[in-house]
Amino acid sequence: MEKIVELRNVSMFFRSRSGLLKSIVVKAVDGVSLYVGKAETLALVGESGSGKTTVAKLSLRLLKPTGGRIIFEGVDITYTPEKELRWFRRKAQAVFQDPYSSINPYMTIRQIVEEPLILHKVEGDKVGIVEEALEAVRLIPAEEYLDKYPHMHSGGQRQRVGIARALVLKPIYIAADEPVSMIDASSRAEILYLLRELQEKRGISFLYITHDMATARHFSDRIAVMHLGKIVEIAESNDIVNNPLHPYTQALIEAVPDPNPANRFRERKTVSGEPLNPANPPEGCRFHPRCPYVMDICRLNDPELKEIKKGHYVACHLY
Amino acid sequence: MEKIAEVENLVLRFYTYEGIVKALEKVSFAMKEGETLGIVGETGSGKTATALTFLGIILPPGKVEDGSIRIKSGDRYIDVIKADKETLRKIRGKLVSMIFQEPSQALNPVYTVEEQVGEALLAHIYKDIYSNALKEINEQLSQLEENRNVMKRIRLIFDKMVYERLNRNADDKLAQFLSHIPILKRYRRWMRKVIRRYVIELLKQMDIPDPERVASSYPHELSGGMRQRVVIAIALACRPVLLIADEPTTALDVTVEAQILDLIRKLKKDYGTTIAFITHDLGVIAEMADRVVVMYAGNVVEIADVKEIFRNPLHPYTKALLKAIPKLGTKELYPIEGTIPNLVNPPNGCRFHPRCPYVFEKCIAEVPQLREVKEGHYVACHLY
Repeated sequence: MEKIVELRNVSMFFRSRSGLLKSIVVKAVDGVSLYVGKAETLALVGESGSGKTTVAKLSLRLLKPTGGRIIFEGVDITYTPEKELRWFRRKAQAVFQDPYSSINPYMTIRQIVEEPLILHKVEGDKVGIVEEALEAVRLIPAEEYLDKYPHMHSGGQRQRVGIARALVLKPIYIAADEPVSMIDASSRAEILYLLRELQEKRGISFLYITHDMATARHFSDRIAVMHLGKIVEIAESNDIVNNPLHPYTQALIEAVPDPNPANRFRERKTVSGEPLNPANPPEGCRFHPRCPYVMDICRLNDPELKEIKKGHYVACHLY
Repeated sequence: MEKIAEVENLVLRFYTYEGIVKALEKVSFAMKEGETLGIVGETGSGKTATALTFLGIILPPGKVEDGSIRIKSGDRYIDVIKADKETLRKIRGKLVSMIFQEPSQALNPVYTVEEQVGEALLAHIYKDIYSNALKEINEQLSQLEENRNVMKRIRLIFDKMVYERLNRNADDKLAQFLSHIPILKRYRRWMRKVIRRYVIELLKQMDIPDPERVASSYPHELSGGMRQRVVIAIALACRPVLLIADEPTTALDVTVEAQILDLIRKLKKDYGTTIAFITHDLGVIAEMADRVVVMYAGNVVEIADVKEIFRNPLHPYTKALLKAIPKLGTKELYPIEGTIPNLVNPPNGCRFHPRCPYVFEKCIAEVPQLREVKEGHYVACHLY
């Protein structure tokens, strides 16, 4: 498969002040390698603090990594200066989590969706392009929405505006950072449906970031599970849901509340403890303090990502 | 089973510049003792508004126009809507308390956990606390040797006086005055020590590891899950009869969500509290609720047993909602067409009719009433 975005052994460390002179290094992303293929969706699943959003920002080159390489359509863009990145900015777009704060309340919907066209000096019938984008996200009829303000719309409609803004430059890659987590259950299905449709029609590659295994499975071809800055498992989405190997993946799947009251008394293997602090990760495997199958080796050595089956990679000493 | 709370014909409106928002329209349901009632609906369906009226904290421009909420207190029922300020104060915390969605906003950032939990405890079980403190003082007094430790004796007798006054009346003016005089403030310090024991005991029940440390930390030092546990501790401090949980896990990570749900289930067993569980997540409902109230655009559209709702949903909205949730098992998704109506100008007749696949003339003309179709299964739809 043709790789659109590829991260090779990328690390991102942040310095965080603690006290007057001291500072500590937070390893938000530590040696992550992944790629998103053409017209493919890769879901990145993990708890808060696992570094999912940092990976998304890196893949859009909104951050310069501490180490590793970012490759977009075969071109290394790791250290390319911003001035020479225009072509990339046009091809890679983002959809954000919170539709209430990611669009400007003082701008009309037309202004919001038109702005990327102005920034990239697109000539021609701008209103036509905006209307086309609004229709693509099923804000129909588009003319009615053009002069309205974001506050006049529901969360689901606002998120559509956010998606239209990402679509208007006809990108080939979109990083969607929890696009449905702030949206109601009934509109959530619509947004996921819409994203899938856009992908099938336009062949856009998606990096879909979420903490919810159920939506990840619906929307993605492959799933990567992240824990404390490292990828612990990557596989095809059906494979990972039906046959999760890493204990953390198993816990994430178990934690999804099952909409079937008959299963309520079934014992769930939920992990104990809170997500750990990435500023102070434990020695050895970073999951070992919460792992039910912890062995001695887990406390000493950090496991490498190994291919267990074809296309199914896992970083765990159990395998 | 006995009814612990009964909501009848509740009508709530918000008077805004854009017009009158008809937030709740004749909402009626009852809660039985010891059950967990799930309230499901989307944003703007009126779930949270219903919860807020239970505590009498609807603020202007909102106004309850009609209806009653009767909550059982001992042998009689108190109507929250008609209650005056003094009665409401007694209801809050003792009869009804609430867990909010965003734990970081429900806690005060400038007070420690101990102070905040302690405040809730003190407001309602001060009699216990004061009489325990008095007992301790009496013990210490009897241990003191005659003719020696005169100063200590005087101090203890002074403390005893203050506690006796407080025990009679928590708002005692003299005691409040004394608490502002530096040398005499010492009784407060003692108080703090006594309350701290209660707080730590309560935090332990919330499965908080290392409760001593948590008690003296500020909210920002805790993780989201820990903060939510503290909020639950405050809500349960006075052992309320009815606990309203307004989306308590929406802001949390999935793994932590599972832990909090387990905790609420455990506490319900220990305390025997009746719970109203508000959420938009049907998965959570399936895990927690005994009966379910489905709300749409300010109306109750369906009430039934949780198994019945999932196995045999009747209202088209409930059916659509069940199909629209992403499940782990299947890959199919069936979104609900259309959007939630604007409640300033809600649709005529049934408020769901613009999105309903089975719509016919009667739905546009007439508002369907909630009727019992099967035993314990109520639905507001012209189809039945």
